[in-house]
Amino acid sequence: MISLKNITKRYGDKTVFENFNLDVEENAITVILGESGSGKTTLLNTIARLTGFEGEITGADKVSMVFQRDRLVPHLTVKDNILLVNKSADVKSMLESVGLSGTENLYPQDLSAGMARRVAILRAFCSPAPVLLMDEPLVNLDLAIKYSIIGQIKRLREESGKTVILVSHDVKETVMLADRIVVIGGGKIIFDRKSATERTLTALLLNNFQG
Amino acid sequence: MKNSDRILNFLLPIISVAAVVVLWAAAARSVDSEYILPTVGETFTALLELFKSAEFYRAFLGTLKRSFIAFSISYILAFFVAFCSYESGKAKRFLSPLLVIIRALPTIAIVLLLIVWTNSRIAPVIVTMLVIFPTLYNNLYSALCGIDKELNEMCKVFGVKNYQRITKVVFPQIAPEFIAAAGAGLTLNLKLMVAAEVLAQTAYSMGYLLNTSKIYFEIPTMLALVLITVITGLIIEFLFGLWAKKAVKR
Repeated sequence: MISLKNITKRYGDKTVFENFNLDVEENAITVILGESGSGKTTLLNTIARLTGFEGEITGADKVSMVFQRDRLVPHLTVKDNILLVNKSADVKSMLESVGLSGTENLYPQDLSAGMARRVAILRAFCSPAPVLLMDEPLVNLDLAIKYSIIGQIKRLREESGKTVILVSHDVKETVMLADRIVVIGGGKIIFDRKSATERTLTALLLNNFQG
Repeated sequence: MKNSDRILNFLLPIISVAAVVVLWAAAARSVDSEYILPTVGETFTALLELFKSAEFYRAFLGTLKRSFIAFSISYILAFFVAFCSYESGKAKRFLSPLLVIIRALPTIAIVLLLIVWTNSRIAPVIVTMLVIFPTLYNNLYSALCGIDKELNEMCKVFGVKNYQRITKVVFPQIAPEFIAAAGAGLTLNLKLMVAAEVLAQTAYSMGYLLNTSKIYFEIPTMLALVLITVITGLIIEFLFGLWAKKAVKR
């Protein structure tokens, strides 16, 4: 279990979270849904210890991450980008499993946006860390690629047994991916269920936005 | 690239050098005095004479050795100081006035002082180091500031070991700028060394030979020594450029 206890995060005078609490079950995809500016990325950066905070986080000492931008090392090949985070990764078969066979020796600039995103996701799944944080991994992708990657994320998660915390502002992808949905707004949890319909989530976001 | 452009690119530098030689020849002819401006032929005769003397080779190698030492120490120091400034704001604030002072130091006065404090072999090395250090520091510091912070964050999250982060992620990013900084400093380094040697009267040096030629009014020899310094600088720059191209590709 990953536990966030009394997390408080401020940027100067602006408080993003105050005494925020969340328990995340292992071996599942927990999607944190929220509007832009609701603090989703800040929450992930806090769990990854990329930013200072008050409070306590347990169960997430080692994490891997899919960032909003792919953050692939431009002068390393696809293979070396993956080996950088796990020397013993079976890169060839992993790439085959997501339809990227033959790209081992390509550089990130030779890949399309969808391919680069897949490599970034694969790199995160290849990391030995048991917890995987995903910051809007499907943003700016074409619909067909998006759906294909959703399937791959679910399959890779099941095969790896990792705990995934994914943040998104997209209701549709949230419903498709989540084993649990947590909606945040104004620095608080406003909804927390195993599943929900798109309509419910849209209404929640709209109410929170208007309110 | 068109064929005509290729030919032009090849010819233009040759034309530019030839123009200098023609101007020199014309000026020497109009002055008509070996003691003011020797002809191209007289200078080349002096050059050949220099190549026959063992003293010249000793001086030439001595200057090259001191240049190499000054440049290497300066580069390592500049890297160390730039790295400290990059890593810590406090270090940068502490080092900033020192760098301003080094930049403002009057070279000639420092050579004279250093001769008193050290000796004529060490003084030119220190002066050359002091003059090229700020330039190297600025270039290396800018290169370090250009490191992609997002990639560093990625390495931190994934727990990439520091050794791997530096060799595989950081160094390849800064290598082109580091190499460019070295290239820019090399020729300047040689010129400064010869100038400092003239002032310091360093034994077995190009500077010493220049000074001796001046005393005996051997103007063709002086010009030949200048020519050798220029050509050596160009060769160093060219060889370094060849190596740099390969290194950056790697």
